[in-house]
Amino acid sequence: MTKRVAALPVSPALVLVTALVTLLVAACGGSGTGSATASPSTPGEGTATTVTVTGAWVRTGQAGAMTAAYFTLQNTGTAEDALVSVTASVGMATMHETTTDASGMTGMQPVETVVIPAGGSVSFEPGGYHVMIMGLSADLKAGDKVELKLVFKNAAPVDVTAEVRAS
Amino acid sequence: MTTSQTPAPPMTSPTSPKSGQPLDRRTVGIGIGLMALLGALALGLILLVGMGGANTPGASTAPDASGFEYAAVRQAPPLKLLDQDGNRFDLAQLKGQPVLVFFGYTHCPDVCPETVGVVSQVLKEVGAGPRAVFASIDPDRDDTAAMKKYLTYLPPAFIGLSGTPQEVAENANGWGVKYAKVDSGSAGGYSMSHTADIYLVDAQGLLRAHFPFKTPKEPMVQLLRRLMAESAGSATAPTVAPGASQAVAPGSGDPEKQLRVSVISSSIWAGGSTPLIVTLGDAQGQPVDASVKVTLKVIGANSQQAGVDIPTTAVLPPGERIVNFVGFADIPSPGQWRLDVQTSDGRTGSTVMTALDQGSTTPVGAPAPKVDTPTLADVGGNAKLLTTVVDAVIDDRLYTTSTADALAAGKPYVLVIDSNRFRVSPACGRAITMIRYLLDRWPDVAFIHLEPFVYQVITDEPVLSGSIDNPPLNQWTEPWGMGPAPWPATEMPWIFVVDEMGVVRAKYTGIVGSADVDVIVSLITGSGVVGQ
Repeated sequence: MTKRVAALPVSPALVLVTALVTLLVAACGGSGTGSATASPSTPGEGTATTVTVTGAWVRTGQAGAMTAAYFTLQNTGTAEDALVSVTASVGMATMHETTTDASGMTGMQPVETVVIPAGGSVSFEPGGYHVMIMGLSADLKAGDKVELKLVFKNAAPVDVTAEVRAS
Repeated sequence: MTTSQTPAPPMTSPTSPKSGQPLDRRTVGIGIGLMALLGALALGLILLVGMGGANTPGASTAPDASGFEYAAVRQAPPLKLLDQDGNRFDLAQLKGQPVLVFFGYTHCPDVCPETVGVVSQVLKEVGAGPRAVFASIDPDRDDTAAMKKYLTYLPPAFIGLSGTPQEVAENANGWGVKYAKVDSGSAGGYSMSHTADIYLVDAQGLLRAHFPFKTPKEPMVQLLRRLMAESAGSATAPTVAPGASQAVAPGSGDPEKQLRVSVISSSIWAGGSTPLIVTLGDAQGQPVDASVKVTLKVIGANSQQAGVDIPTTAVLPPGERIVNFVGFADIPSPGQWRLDVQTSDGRTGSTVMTALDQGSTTPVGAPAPKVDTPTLADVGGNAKLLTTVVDAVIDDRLYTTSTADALAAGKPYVLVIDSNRFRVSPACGRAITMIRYLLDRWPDVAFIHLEPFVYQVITDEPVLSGSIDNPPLNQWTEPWGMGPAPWPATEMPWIFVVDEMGVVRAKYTGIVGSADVDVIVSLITGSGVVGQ
């Protein structure tokens, strides 16, 4: 049982929301909008997904300061998957996304998960998704190595060695 | 709860014919408010210079075919801060060699290092001579020591600048650079949103080009090489138009009487009663305090004043160091306007601002629509029905009070209409994170997050009920008037600040600075009012 809707209605607002939910559940074939989700498998259900990680690198940085890690994720499976966390050997890692608006203003915000569509790929790259690594335990110089562990919603965790470089 | 000391002027029609014309209407209708504001700032210098009569001087700043060079050349805006060794720095010192200038902050994991990387490569390719200036827009964390440390492994051509919040604001404003503190939702405290363009200044100190973030190095190398050749003796170097070196045109000849004006307001609206927030610096760069009375004037084409002189209230939000002066203006129509500032001790200053078209959105100065936003209690505690903010980051305080509850309790509220999941614009999601930064500061104010679109929750995931290109506004968002041009549903986020009487005192769209909302909340709660 993977479909779950709201608790009991307690107000007109909820009645409306619930009604819409019910409607949509009936109508939704799993497609829909940019952020629609194909029914993901429940853990243990065993929908096989395979995610490969390539081109991992970490930017040079100073001890105590922060830097970022980048890589490309390729989902070779037939079901959607999602990157849910990244840990790094050299500091505290969190996923962020940088966005730029039409005026040239950039900003970043934390992201909890990054969806990788079935058969698709997602790049973590400067100015987009990145793994922020804070509180570097040592200076990172070009040629150093950083160990990253990527945890996915469905696929098995992936350990990857990232090369440190300036850009 | 104290009522604001500044009475809102009566509402008039935005098309009131007798109150003068804007300087320039061409930027009206640009989607994101900030974009228009930025444009105004960027055009400000030229506008002020050309203000004798022509009312579309900004046309000359359009980039040429290369997309990076300015068609019209002007003096680079002033850049005067402390360098990484604590010495006074003035961009004018670097005359004789081209300079790449950009703004950023050292606690920046992605954008700034990328910019530094590109600039480093450019400098390496063109060889010795040109310098790079990295000016911090994070004065709370970046001082000379932080800049010095940051430069440790960078080429010696780099200079790192920092300064007081007021100095940083003035310098950034001069370049049209916007920045705002954003709660990063992590242990790192906050991050900065900021304009990440790289500016190219030639050997004569003229601003020649700007490169948006993610511009590859090649056009920079190409232009820099050309400028280096120019400064090496070519007679083709452009000359600046007479008078164009005047960075600000306060009108007064006495430099001691000149004020530097920074506009803090993120969105300025035509019609109704729009708050204008400014901070002021004196000739020495020191912030002007609340001991003087400050008056604002809105000036249109042909130097005609629109409306009457606007008195201001001095507001110093708790814990802040710089006094903000807030007046409420009824700007006759959308477009660019000059804002003149005058103090009771005879000092004057001036800047340019862009007023946006309110369209059918609830006007500033008008009563908020009667909307009863849903709360956690309405949905049996299932937060996913109210918000697309991910579980770990949901702050229940944003969903406990409805707009109707706040009004009934005589409590001001800040309504944030934004979606973390359905990002129709690059600014989406940021208003929520920004407002969480203010939540702890104002326990007596209701902060309310409202998702703008109709969506359903299926297997714990929000699914939009329609196309992301034309998302359906929900029943609580629609009454605020979004949807029709010029503010389609894809223009998000919005923030409405409503006082305890239920009147909209400020509203914002696009990227909003936390300082701006902080000042308005301070004003309507009376907590930070320090002078008239």
